Amino acid sequence: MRRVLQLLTLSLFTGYTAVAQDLAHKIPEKALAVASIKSDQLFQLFSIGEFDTSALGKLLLDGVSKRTGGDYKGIEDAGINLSSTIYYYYQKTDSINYNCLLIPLSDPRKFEKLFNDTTRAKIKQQGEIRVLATSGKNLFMWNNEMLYVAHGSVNTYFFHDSLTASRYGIRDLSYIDNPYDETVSDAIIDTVESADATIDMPETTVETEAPVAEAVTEEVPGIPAVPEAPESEETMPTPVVETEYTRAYKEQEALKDSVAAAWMATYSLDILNKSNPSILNNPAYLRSLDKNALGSFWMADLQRIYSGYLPYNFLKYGNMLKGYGSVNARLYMDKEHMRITGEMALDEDKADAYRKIYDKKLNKKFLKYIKSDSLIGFMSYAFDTESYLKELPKIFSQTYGTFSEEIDLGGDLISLLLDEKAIAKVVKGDALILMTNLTPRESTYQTYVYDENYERRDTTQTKMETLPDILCMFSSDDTHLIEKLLKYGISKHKVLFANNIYSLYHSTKNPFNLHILLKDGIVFMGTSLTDIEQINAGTYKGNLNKQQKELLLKNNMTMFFSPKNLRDKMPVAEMGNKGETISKLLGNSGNVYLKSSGIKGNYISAELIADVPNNQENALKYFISLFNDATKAR
Amino acid sequence: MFKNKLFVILLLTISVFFTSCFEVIEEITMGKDGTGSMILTVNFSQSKNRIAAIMLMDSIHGYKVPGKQEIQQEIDKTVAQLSRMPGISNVKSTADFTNFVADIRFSFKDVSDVNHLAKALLEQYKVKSTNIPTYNYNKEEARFTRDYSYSNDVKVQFNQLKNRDKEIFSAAAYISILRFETTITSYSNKLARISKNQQAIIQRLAIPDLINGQANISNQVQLSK
Repeated sequence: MRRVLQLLTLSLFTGYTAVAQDLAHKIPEKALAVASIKSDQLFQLFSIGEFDTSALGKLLLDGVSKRTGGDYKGIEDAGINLSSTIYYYYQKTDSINYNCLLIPLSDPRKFEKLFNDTTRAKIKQQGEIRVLATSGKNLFMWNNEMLYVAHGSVNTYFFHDSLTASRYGIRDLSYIDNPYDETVSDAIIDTVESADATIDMPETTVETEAPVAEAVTEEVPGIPAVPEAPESEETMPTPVVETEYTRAYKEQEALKDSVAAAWMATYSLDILNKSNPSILNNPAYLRSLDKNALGSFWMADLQRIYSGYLPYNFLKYGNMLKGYGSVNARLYMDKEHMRITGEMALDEDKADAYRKIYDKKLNKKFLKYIKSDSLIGFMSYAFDTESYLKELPKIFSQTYGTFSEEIDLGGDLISLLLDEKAIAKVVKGDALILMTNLTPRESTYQTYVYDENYERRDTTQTKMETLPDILCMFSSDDTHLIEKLLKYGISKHKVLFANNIYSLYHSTKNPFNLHILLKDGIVFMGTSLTDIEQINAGTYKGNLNKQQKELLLKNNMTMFFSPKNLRDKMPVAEMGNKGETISKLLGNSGNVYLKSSGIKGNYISAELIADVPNNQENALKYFISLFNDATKAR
Repeated sequence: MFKNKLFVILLLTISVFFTSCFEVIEEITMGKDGTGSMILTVNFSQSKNRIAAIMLMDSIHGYKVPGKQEIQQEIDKTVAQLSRMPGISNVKSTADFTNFVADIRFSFKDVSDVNHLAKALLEQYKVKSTNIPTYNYNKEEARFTRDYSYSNDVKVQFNQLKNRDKEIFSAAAYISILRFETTITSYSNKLARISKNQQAIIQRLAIPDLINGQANISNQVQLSK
């Protein structure tokens, strides 16, 4: 029994330390967006020692050393706990929006040294918490475990309500004949006092920085500052001579900032001191987490965010994003890949509609026309045309909630006019677009020659241009309409027909030659006549690899790009002095894939994968090296 | 809509591979009495595939792509405006939308009329430029002058463009041809070349040199009396 108790205590203790290190429980339940990055995983991929000696690290450390007059040799000297998770979150209220960072600290004394002497002198102690307000809008607060950085911006329309504004002593200047009088300074004191009374401000000793009368600061300790003039100047043109109006305007703005600063102080202290309901109560947020992810992102329901930004009189259009739920994404980096996975929640109706639309697989016959070993890139999609046409009106009727009856009626009318089944026979809804090659092509252009007496004569010259070869295919069970269209083109002398192949030659409206072939229920369109001829004769030899086969068949939408194959075919000489650099950059890059497999549960998901080339240790180092190369290419 | 986007992506990819260069040709034919004619030609034929691809898009690099009709309307507007200018007559224009070549030609009573015309056109298109050449013909002395002084403004404005937009000018050429009824006895610009019959002068330079102030197009041409 004792052993059990011991074990229980131990596990509880471990659990407790885990919570103490992870700051997610400090994020308010009502946050609209949360992003996080795991510094321990980051520094596993790129060790602290390596970072300190890297170009980026040196730049950062030199900058900090210069600014603070200190001597920073390593990132660990900043006092940040580098084996934990850093969080960012965004919260919106009716009056103020907060952008906040939560950073775990290992040594607060080291962190304080990051500030220069003047700033450090402004740090105030309040119990275990140290506070620094760098301006009316930014606030730093920290204790021994964490640093909390908040940036607040007041919602301008909050003060548009004259009753609310007057509560804080703010006046609407446009209605004042003589906008400036000496009572304005009294208003500041009134406001600050009323702000204090309204929000029940706890006693703090954050110092004011702004040139407000000393008495004000002493009377109301803890209200961090009427901010300095430059803050308000950012939002208004700098006048040559300060008029009474601009003076009054500045004071009103300063007043708003002082109110905001007071709100921020209360809000931030509450986060640090108290244990409030946290985002960890939100199942959608919890779904976004994965212990293997290096970083993660979560955003609340799109409709909630959208309607939060709508001005009141537009609320009737407020259903634009109805049915679209929260969005989340995760970033993974390992030795072989960089992956970003993303999801968006859908409500039952939307999920049902999209499930029907996505109930389609790519035509397997497409696969024999893919040459994986030389392919530059491809794009594929598979939607069910019939369901798409049927479901579209429903999707719209949700969006325009107020007009749902009209939209519904419109949808029925469209259904009546359209024969969804017949359309779905012509265009089944799947397509594959391949970029197969780059081919040099002779192109003519008009220029002039000048005779010995400099009289001008028109002449036509030729030059070589490299063009990508594209091969597109889509399924069609009924090609009559397409054939009819092409035959109309023949009768109008726009289209040539020979050996089953329809050809459109390049013109001003069409920069490339296009050859069309209808075969085996597939419509082929290609820029290379050889490709189309071989497909027609049945001699086209594809060599699809297993990885791409899986990618194409298991997903409703895919994209693939091979930088190496592009590099091999690229006309470096034609590209001028940047050709070499771009060629090197492409040669050092791995393949990139994008895929979406449609609906799982009530979530629609997509994934982006970048392969790490063999000569690179891991994804992070690979991206840092790519970034360095790309910077050189600029 | 989705398919349209695919099309635009394809077009963008394609347009990357096309080269972009163009030439601007300015021809002035001077009579002994000071009257004459001028032809301005802009030839984008070498970039025609790129332009054809761009013209299928709505916008590129944040600029709206004008349609054929809009371009024609602008040209017509310019022709109408030029016809109203004092001393300018016989204004005609051609626009070839297959090769992307356009020209505008007109007669003038005095070559100095061209100076007013250039200024008015620049104002119409809201181009701030202080370094446009000015022309003068002294009948008594039989001397033709083109004054051009480089101003840093052009370079400053050019440098404000994004790199990808600057590249449009990298292979652009400017050609100026001056033709006279009498023979040329001397000319001041050593970068210009005189024709075999000694009645014409040509100068060809790269537009980037003009923008950077590395080339000068001033010239004083003395004609036999």
